[in-house]
Amino acid sequence: MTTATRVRAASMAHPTAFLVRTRPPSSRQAAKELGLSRASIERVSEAVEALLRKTSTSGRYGQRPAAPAKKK
Amino acid sequence: MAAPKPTVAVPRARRVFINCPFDRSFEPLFLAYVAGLAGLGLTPITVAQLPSSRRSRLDRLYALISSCAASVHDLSRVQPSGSSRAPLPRFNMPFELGLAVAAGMGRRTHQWFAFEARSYRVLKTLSDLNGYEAFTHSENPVGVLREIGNAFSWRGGNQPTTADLKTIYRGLQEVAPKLKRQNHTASVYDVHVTNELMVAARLIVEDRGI
Repeated sequence: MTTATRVRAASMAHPTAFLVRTRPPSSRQAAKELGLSRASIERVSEAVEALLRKTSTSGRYGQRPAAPAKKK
Repeated sequence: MAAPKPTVAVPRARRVFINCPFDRSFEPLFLAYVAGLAGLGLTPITVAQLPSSRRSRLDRLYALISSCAASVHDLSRVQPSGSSRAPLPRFNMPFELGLAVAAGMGRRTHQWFAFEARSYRVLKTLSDLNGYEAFTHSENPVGVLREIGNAFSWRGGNQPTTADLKTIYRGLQEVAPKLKRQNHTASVYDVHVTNELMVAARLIVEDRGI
């Protein structure tokens, strides 16, 4: 069997896509699994909070900005 | 700075090895790989997480790839590169793909996916892959997100769309410079930064209800 045939056979044995069978981890679980320190978790949380504050007012990342209050 | 703890706590079914060039110009695509995988609930693992031990680098590399349920191999960097006057091609990516193919042969359960910038080019650069079509991203981060979504699918449930993954990607683009600064590194490939990006991605997912 040639190398190309072996490789083709191996790839054909693969399903077309990898089936994700596990539940996605929460951010807390991911941090724990990756062994992030408390300081590291705080850094990430602060960076993401700053991003989310910015985006919730500017309406970026697909979220519309809050509609201005109607004048009475 | 303290060495990161080993990532063995991440279940194998969620570990995906990223094999790609580690240079500045590739950073947007690397961020897209991290955003795409993290958005799908998978954990990116890179060679930066190679544990130090007395075993040879090759043994450790094979063990690291085998410890992942899947791997993505970006073969788009075919041109010679480097800062010297005589740039050279890098063979690490196709070599590591070979290790992943070996890890998936026989009864082993490792799935590998090849990514390229141009359709069918891999059949010329790596004809051993004849019969296998690489996922084509056109050197575009959104292309990476789309193809990650094609390579990995959820059984049932609402799989995040390319638009969802793009939301995560744009968020990571914003926070990456800050995380690099805080980790005193200029590289997004630093293991601490990569791990923090994964957690940042999950925080964005939770906030946006993706």
